[in-house]
Amino acid sequence: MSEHRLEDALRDSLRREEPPAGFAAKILAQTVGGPALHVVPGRERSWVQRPLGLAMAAAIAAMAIVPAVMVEQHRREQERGLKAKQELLTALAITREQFQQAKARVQRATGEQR
Amino acid sequence: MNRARRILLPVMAAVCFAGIAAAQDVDLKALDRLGEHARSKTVVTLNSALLKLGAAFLSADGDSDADAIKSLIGKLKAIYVRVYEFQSPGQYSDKDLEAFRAMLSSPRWTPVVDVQDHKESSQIYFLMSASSDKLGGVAVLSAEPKKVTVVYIDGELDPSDIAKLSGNMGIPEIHDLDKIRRGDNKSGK
Repeated sequence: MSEHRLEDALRDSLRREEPPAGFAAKILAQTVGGPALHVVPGRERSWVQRPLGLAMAAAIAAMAIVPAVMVEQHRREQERGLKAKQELLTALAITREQFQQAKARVQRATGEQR
Repeated sequence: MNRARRILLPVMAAVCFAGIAAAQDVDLKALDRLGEHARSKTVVTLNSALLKLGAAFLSADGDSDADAIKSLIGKLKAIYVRVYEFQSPGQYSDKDLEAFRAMLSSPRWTPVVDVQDHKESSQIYFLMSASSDKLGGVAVLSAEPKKVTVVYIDGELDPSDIAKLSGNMGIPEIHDLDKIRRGDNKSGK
């Protein structure tokens, strides 16, 4: 029985009571010193709108992208160089072959004339 | 001001035209007709920058002849090579080579070899330099029943370079080039 009484007492003391009429206006009038102001909560700026956040994001992106670009550039340069080397050797080999062929043809032609 | 412009503009135009005319002294487009019927063609065009790059990669590979090749190509502006191979004889005619031969018949070019051996011919022309004892270029035209080869070397060459070009100088044989391409020979030779 005593438990029931305790519960009732707690319920009584924790019961929600509506504030008297004009309570909020009175409080605002005392704190601001004037009529109640309509306060609109400011919208929080995202990281994109913050210059520092933007700069950090750009720096991180650059740190990730720049080495990859450099590696790719080096690979392409390497490829281009090997191709140029191959073509240079091909050109020189064909040139030599042509000179040797011409020499052999001249020798054959002059040999036949004798 | 206007008078100066009137004099300068035609002079500048003439200089530009002369430059273009010199550059077009040998136009390999004259060989385009050959390519239409060829079974295969090899086209190598190396301008000054690519020549230097190729030579640099020869050095990087530790090629012992890299220095000799570098000095040989040091003053060259370009090397052009065209090889057209045909399925059977008669797929091209002398007429297809006429336009190219006509370019080399200008007084600036001197034929140094012109040999006809059965159905094959070789012609070598030197571009004589008026200002020095060096050559300004070399053109080679070889015609066989199933193959036409044209080499045009544009740039300053010492006559002794021709001997080097026709010698070995560490340049691989043509049939070895395919092996190099496949990576069979890692030395680059």
